[in-house]
Amino acid sequence: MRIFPHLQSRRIRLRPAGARDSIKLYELLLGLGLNTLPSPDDFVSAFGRGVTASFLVETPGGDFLGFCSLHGMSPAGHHVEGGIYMSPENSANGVGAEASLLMINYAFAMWNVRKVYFQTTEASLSAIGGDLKVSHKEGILSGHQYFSGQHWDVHVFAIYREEWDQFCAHAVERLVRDRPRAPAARHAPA
Amino acid sequence: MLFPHLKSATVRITPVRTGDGPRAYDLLLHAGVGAPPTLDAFLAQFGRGGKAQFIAETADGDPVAFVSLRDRDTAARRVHLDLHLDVAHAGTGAGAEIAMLGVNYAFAMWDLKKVCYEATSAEFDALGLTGEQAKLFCEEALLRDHVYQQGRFWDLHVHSVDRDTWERTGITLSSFPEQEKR
Repeated sequence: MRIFPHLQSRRIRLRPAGARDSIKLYELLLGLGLNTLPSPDDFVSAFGRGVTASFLVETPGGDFLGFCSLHGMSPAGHHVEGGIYMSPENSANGVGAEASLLMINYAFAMWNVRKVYFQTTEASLSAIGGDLKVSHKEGILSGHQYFSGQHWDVHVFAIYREEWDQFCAHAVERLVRDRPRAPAARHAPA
Repeated sequence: MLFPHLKSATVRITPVRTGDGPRAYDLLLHAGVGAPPTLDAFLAQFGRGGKAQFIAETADGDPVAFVSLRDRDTAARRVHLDLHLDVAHAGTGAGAEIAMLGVNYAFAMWDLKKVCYEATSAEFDALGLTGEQAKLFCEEALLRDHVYQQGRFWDLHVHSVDRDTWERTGITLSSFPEQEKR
């Protein structure tokens, strides 16, 4: 099945993120309080390590909404992990789920991966959109993360290509069908 | 009290030094799992990243396994145990003793809540853990067809050993020197 690596839908666009965007991600994560963070300098110098693709999530007009990335690519295992970082207000009304769909679609379109993982804690479990209900929960890592003063279970999900083709690809095409006719987002000038 | 044992009934673990890189790489190759990086890339990273790494040997000095305690998270209080066992020692029980030494070392050295251990069924079986020892390793996740090695895809089992279980029963199931168990 042909899958086009869409970067824009009616409500959002994904713009490739670079090292200069890393401090914006740091500030976002700091504000969300969902991660244990190193110093800003250490975070910036490590930015991009192990990451295959990272994007700023923006409105079609360029307003910042959040970040998403694909990392932990395994060429032998044919899998990659996706992560999405958005505040509850910016991801409300299905916007976060829309960004997730574009990101996962990008992974299946770009690389010969069989499955895409994503991990979440109870703190953000409810943000998973209906279109991602085809995902399989492959495990719960007990008390695996610590933030906000407590340990949190980590829920590990996986989405398989066959099910993506069957159940989700059409949802992405529906999302992008009515997108604005403005030029696709590109790297911002240096 | 947990003592950071470095030897059991038949094996000992020794912290690696820079010059041990080629021996460790050789053990990676003999484990036959995953796709090792090139030797130069491996040596460039060897001993870095805050890992605790060991070479496990028999009493005669034969190398048995390369062991790493990596990705220690001081906030979440966990660490990951990697154990690359030379296939020549699969099922002999040497792997079990090394796993017990690795887990015990982690809990003795650091204030951890759990030690994670990821393995295919073949790698887990190769350790040769007894039934009671195997129960210490609680399966938390099963990642289907996660790894490709030895010509096929394998499920990856994500296990963890928690501190309470280790202190309650793990230590008594080990073959560490009796005078130091107390």
